[in-house]
Amino acid sequence: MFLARRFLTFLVTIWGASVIIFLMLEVLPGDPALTMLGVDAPDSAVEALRRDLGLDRPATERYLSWIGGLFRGELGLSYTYQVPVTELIAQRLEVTLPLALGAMLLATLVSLSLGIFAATNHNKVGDYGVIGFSQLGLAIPDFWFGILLIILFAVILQWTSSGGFPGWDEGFWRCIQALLLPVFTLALSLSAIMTRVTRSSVLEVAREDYVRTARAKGLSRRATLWRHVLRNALIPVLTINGLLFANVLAGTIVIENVFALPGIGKLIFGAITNRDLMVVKNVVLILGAMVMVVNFIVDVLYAVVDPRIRIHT
Amino acid sequence: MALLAVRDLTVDLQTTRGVARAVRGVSFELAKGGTLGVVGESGCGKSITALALMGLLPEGARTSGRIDLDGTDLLSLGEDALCGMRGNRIAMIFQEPMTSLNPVHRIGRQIAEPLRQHRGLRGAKARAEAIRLLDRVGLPNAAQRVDAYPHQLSGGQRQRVMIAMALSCDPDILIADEPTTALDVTIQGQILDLINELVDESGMALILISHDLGVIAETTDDVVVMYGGSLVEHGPTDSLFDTLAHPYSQGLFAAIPDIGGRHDRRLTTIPGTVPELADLPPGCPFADRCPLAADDCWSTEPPMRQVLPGHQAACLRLEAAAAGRANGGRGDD
Amino acid sequence: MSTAATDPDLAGDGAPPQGFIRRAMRHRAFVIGFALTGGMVLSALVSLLWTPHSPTEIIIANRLKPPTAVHWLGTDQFGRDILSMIMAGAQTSIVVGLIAVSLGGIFGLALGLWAAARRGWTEDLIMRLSDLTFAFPVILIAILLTAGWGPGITNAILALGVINIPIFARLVRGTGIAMWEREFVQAARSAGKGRVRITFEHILPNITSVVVVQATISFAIAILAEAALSYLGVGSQPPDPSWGRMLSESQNFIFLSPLIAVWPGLAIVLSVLGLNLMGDGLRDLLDPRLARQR
Repeated sequence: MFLARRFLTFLVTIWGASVIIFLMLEVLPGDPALTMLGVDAPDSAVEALRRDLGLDRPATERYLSWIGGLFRGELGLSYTYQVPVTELIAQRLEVTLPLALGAMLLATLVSLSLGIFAATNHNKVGDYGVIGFSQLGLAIPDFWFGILLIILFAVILQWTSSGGFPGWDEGFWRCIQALLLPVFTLALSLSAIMTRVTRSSVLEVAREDYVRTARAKGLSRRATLWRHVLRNALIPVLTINGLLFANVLAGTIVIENVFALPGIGKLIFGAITNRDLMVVKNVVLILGAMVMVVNFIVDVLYAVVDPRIRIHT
Repeated sequence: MALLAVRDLTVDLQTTRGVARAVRGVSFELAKGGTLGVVGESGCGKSITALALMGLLPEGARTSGRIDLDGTDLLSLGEDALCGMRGNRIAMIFQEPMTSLNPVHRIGRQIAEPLRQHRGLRGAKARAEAIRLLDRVGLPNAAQRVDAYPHQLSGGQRQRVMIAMALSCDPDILIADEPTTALDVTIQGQILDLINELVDESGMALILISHDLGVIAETTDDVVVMYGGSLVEHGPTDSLFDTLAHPYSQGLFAAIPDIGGRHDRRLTTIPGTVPELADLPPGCPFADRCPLAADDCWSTEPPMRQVLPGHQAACLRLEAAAAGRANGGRGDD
Repeated sequence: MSTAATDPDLAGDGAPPQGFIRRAMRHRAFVIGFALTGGMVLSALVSLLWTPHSPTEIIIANRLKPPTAVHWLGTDQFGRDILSMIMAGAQTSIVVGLIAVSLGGIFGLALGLWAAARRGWTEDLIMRLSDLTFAFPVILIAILLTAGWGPGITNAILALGVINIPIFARLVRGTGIAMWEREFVQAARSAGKGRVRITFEHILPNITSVVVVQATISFAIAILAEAALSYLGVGSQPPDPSWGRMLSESQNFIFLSPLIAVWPGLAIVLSVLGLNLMGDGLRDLLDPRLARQR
């Protein structure tokens, strides 16, 4: 019941996002064809491009054909690359998806261990160390951290190359190796934020009355932490981590440039600067959909963790 | 020999304003199956005393004195040994049933937890025992309610669950810290009756902490009155309520609105506020609020003096207090 | 009878905390943050008048020199002195941060005060619009805007300023609404003062501390975002000095001279760290209630 309702909201949000993207890119003043070709382009060329892009048709028709295309998996042709956008996106996702999910996974593991460690050592040396790490992690620009990793591992130690991606056909481990440094780079600031959230959440829950009840039953500190504190502390942590997924995807724009990875981030950055509208609108929608899928999963986990949500809504 | 003997218990807490002496040399005894009421305004140290008995004082707290349970000094025990005591030989229920249960676990599991911890009971056996306990505390439909989550129960029902949890291992002592304060007036009586009934039935000893004198009078054999971290009066309930030897005890009683009283008495409150434990002056802690305070009250810490056999009060001016009480009894102000 | 009169918390609303400077000097994080931020501002100011060498003069013969007594941090691929470039780069960071935060701060403050004073549909509109921008990460909006308006430092500043508007608006509205419910505002209202007057006399002075704290944090975020935009090539353009662009240019030469990619990053980290520590410190010092909640 909860899931069904939540799934419906999910569909409605995606639809809303598609309308907003469409309005922003197509209906707002300004001629996309003219922007693409530049103001100096001859009228005939602009006219031809407008026809190519279907800009001479009414907006509703264009919107419907875009959405119809989405359902059939046909997203049109990229203006710069001259290949179908579907193909382009599928190819790029092979890089970005493992990168983003790997960073999320790594940051979650790091932040849970550091956050719990800091909270259980509240106001001790270990706690201050973790606070220092998260302050530093927030202050280090991720692209600079990437460059530092390249200097250390590619220039000084010469363990890896300084960037690039061989493609999954070239062997699984080579690809994993190529993604290792980018994943670490992307995970740094992410772990810093998540660690802060986890730490304060655990500290907050540890002050709850039911934790005192658990101790009054004779549970040790450790048992209380695992059985009573963590599950409750996870609730806000889950929410924040889900919201941060959007930041991870945005972060790939910068990181894929640092490591010369042919992923979605590099694709959208190029598409924005080249005004490749067909690519921009579809990629933004797909990125949006990915963020919403992750938040949908978070909501499902939320219901698993917290019975109050399962039954009431 | 007494089941529980507290001797000269002192607790220092770390606060943002420095070290605060929250409990100052408190001593009392509790016999097997006995009942003791602890009375005082909030901040008088009664809850801290209870937490000290449980070994659950906040981080950074320091204790001295002795808490002997059957001859074992609880203050000298390590954390592991204390874990074996808590929920097993001493159990506690708290003031806020709404927040004292973990919202993400079924109540059956929460009740079974001490059984699992201290008796090694698991699975179906633990579940059956949880249902039996819920039944015993009068929760209707115990067999189904065992799978409920706390948010599906009312405040009174949750307090019943807390009581079931505390009873699970047949403790020698039950500490109830303001168990009815957060509940509806109509439910308060039911919960108190339940506690009384269970104490009679099982023969466990009870320490009931409350600021509600009516509750104490109804339930307990002995009473201690606490003020500013110290015991100010201590004795059998009947004798203490009859005599009210200490000026603070008198003030506490005068502060209760006399509902349905013949004479239309104004609600008296004790002037001044409860002192900050961090900066308590020397001498009697009640001196600056006491109507009878004399010069030596500010400088001399009052010793415990006998009022009647088994009934003591810590006051330098017990005689004046007794006289004042006799005058106040004539009822004109 | 009444103990309220002697309660320090209830006396004098909005009065500055006493002994602020003395308490600040004892707050370790604040002192470190203040020193780091001071260093950044100082090097920007000094660079206006003097730098060890010209930050823009190209001397190919001097290219990619390691640190020496003449060039303390070495030279870049065009033979420019890195220390001088970093000092001048502080100017860009400060200008971007200052203008972006002022822009977002002033408009956000106005909108937030308005929403708190009027409530109703104005408030709903402002809040729904800010919800919309919160759904997208800062860097994505900044890239979309700068790419849309054309690359360049002015557009980067504008984009960062626009992003800050809803952040301030939401904060000011929240704090403002709480203020409107306080007794002294209720008293002013029953004394017949108008909403505008109350806003300026009572609400504004009481929300300055939260705005100052947010401004510090936003300043740090703006420095990071400007660096990322310039790194991607849509922020500041040559020959303006910029830490982010220094990093993107140096990346091609890390095999020859890895150190040139270290210094500008270090400058960013120290500045951002300084501002963040100062912001956290100010939060503790200005609003003890807020600090305790964290």
